[in-house]
Amino acid sequence: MRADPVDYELLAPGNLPDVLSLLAHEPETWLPIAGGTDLMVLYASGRLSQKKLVSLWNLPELRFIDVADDEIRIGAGCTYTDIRNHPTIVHEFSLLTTAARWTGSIANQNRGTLGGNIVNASPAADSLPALLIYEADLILVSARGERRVLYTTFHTGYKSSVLAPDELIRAICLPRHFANHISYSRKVGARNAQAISKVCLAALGKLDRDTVTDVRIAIGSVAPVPLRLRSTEDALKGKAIDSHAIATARSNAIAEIQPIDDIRSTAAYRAAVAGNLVVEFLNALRESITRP
Amino acid sequence: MQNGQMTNYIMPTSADLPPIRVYFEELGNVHGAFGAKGIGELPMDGPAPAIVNAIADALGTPFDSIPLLPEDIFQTMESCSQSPEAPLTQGVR
Amino acid sequence: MSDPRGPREISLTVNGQGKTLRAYPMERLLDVLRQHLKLTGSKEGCGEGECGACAVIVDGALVNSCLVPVLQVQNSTIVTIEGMAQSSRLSPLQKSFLDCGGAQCGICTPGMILAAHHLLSRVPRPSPEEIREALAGNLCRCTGYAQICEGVANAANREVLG
Repeated sequence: MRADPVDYELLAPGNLPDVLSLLAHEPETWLPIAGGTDLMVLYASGRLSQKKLVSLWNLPELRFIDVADDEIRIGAGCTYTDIRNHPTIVHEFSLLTTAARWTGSIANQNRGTLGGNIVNASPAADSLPALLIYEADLILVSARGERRVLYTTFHTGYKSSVLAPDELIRAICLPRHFANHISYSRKVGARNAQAISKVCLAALGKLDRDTVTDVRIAIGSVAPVPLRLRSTEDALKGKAIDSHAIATARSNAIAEIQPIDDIRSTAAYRAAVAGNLVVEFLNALRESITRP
Repeated sequence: MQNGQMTNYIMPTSADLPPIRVYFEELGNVHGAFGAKGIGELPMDGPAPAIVNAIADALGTPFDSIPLLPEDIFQTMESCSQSPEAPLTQGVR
Repeated sequence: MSDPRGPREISLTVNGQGKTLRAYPMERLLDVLRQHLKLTGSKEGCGEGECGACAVIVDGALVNSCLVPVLQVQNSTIVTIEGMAQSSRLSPLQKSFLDCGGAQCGICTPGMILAAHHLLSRVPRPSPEEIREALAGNLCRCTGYAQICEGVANAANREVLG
């Protein structure tokens, strides 16, 4: 343990308005901490330079799941366990429950939050490709009010976002359009659990007979931010899902990503695996034609 | 240190558990009373070469170093497919 | 408000007993348990939430106590490995670990027992896959997990049969 608790302050006002007031009145001073599964690791290794923290843990205004007819709103303070246990998310947003199941361990799923995963913005974050696929909106909140942004516009680069210094993510909104899509997701890591992904793909598809009417492919760990493979998707839409289309999709996907060599894997391996996962998804989509 | 954090020191979890069947091959130890030999904390030199040999046998490609990562196997297979005459001894990280 | 930089009074219920102590808000729950409360069953294996040796149950949920600032468990109910046995009687799960050879050096065992207990309290008859997933956050360097998983399955069967 390379940090001294004496050097740190942690406040827990216990309600959102007081937290927002603190962030507004003392800007860039108080670092929000929810479940701590990212920040406490930095802290223990002596790499948490911000010494003042404010707790978001278990704030009722952030830890809720509201189901409306057209969308579901997941509070940013929901844990992965909250997400895994919610029937509507299980039935209609399986890419998100799968991502929650991939994340860390049961113990970490009980503390890690979806908002924390978004704000920490690791390119390898498990849940972010699913949010891209589902075209999430984020509700951002500060003492100045709320605003709603497309999740696809949230990340502006590696570890940077549109979040203002006094803002928090309050909720993640997912439209309830996807119950009838075929879904596919796969994470490739060094082991079957507690692995930071080498490549992580989430996808949805819809067919009319053998023609692709909708396809969404998102991928993590192959760029500074999680990516939607828009060019690959556009080349598939309206086409028959045959061997040629699938082979073209593989090449397109590899061209769209920017993998690097790092401690976990190599660019070449990641590119090959990404292509293979796209093919595996499209084969699954094609096979769904023959199944009722 | 190459891997100074547990997050980078990748060891198997229970989710990585393959079927393990244990057989005792009993050969007496000439140095032990009545052929006895200590059974705790033996050096585990055998499994890694056995696994590398199994991979080599499955792929028809020689491998001769550890750790043998998927990236190493991939790189070797790519080299072999591009240049059948190229030296096959790769996989060093 | 008192000096935000000083130690705070923290009230917890630990293994069924009310405890009040003074700690800095950013002290890790693991350190509070081990040093303030002398409950050394929870171990620091990594300090990163990767090994599960520090796992405890907070308000019914398994967590890695090395990642929890103690202020966030103000007024919480905590169960550590010390709370698993009833006085000197081992729980059926603990007995099952012994019977199946589920411990060698023992350093992962407290976290394993709590993770298994957390599973069995939700899924009384888990499948082998469910057991492996439930324990995947607890690293063991000694056993290769097989006997640990057997111990959990065995305990599940025993508890069903009474």
